[in-house]
Amino acid sequence: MIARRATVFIVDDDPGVCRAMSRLVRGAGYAAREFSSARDFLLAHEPEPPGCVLLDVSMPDLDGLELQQRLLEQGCQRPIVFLTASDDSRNVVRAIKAGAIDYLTKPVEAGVLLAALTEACRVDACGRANWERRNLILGRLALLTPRERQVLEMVLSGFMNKQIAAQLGTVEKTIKVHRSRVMNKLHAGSLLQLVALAQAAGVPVSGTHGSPT
Amino acid sequence: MSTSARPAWSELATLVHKLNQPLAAILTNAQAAQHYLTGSAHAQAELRGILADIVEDNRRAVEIIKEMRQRLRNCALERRDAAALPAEGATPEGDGR
Repeated sequence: MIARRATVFIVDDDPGVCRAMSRLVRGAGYAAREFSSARDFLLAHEPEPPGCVLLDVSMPDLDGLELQQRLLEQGCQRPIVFLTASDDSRNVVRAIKAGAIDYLTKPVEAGVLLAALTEACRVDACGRANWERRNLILGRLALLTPRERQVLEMVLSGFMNKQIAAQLGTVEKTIKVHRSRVMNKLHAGSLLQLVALAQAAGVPVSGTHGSPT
Repeated sequence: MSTSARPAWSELATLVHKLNQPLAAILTNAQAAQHYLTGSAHAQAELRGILADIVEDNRRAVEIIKEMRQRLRNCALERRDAAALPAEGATPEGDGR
């Protein structure tokens, strides 16, 4: 599978810095988009292209930390690398606590900056892969019949086939058939894989059950 | 007493902040140029742009440094003038304690 080229969204009110950063990241193989203000970025931003944000802190009007908050409010997961000309350590804690990948100061060495961007894009790609996997599993879960769903949930709760059969008023053989169909539909080769799939999709897995009857 | 305003530290801090911008652009441009030194025609166009920006950013930095020097000079002159004036109410022998 060919990975899509990641984009670095550069937000900085200094045009000289913007241009220089754009040249550096394009030279390193990224696509680059430049914005001279946080508002311009918010107006133009689409969450779909993979990549990260290289964000100046001190900008007039909306500053970098405020932009980070706005993105969080929108549910935008795009990783942020901060780049500041100031020496304000209070901002570092705020930025990192709010989930920034890194917080760098100007002037910044190319190696340091590119390492931070690599990490940010890796986190972005990871998050997207998890999201796609989750959607794939949810799609497969939607194909289960109500009975199969019941059996799945009881298996995930740690019940044995015999107990499930007793609970649902049927025989063990029937439960085994349901269970087999569930495993096939979800592409799970083992109970362990089934648990992993369920967790990836956000289906509750308790593993503990009431006392056997 | 001198009436010219003493440069507030916040003004100098602002100038330091401003100075970091062209310096950041110069460093990143130079390092990008090192990468582009592969000789393709597209790279040459990038290099021309990079060098033009480096020259301009150097000028920006020089201007800011001049301004910082001027303010520091004013501050030093003020202090020197203030030190040359006799302190009010002081006696030549001091307290005698």
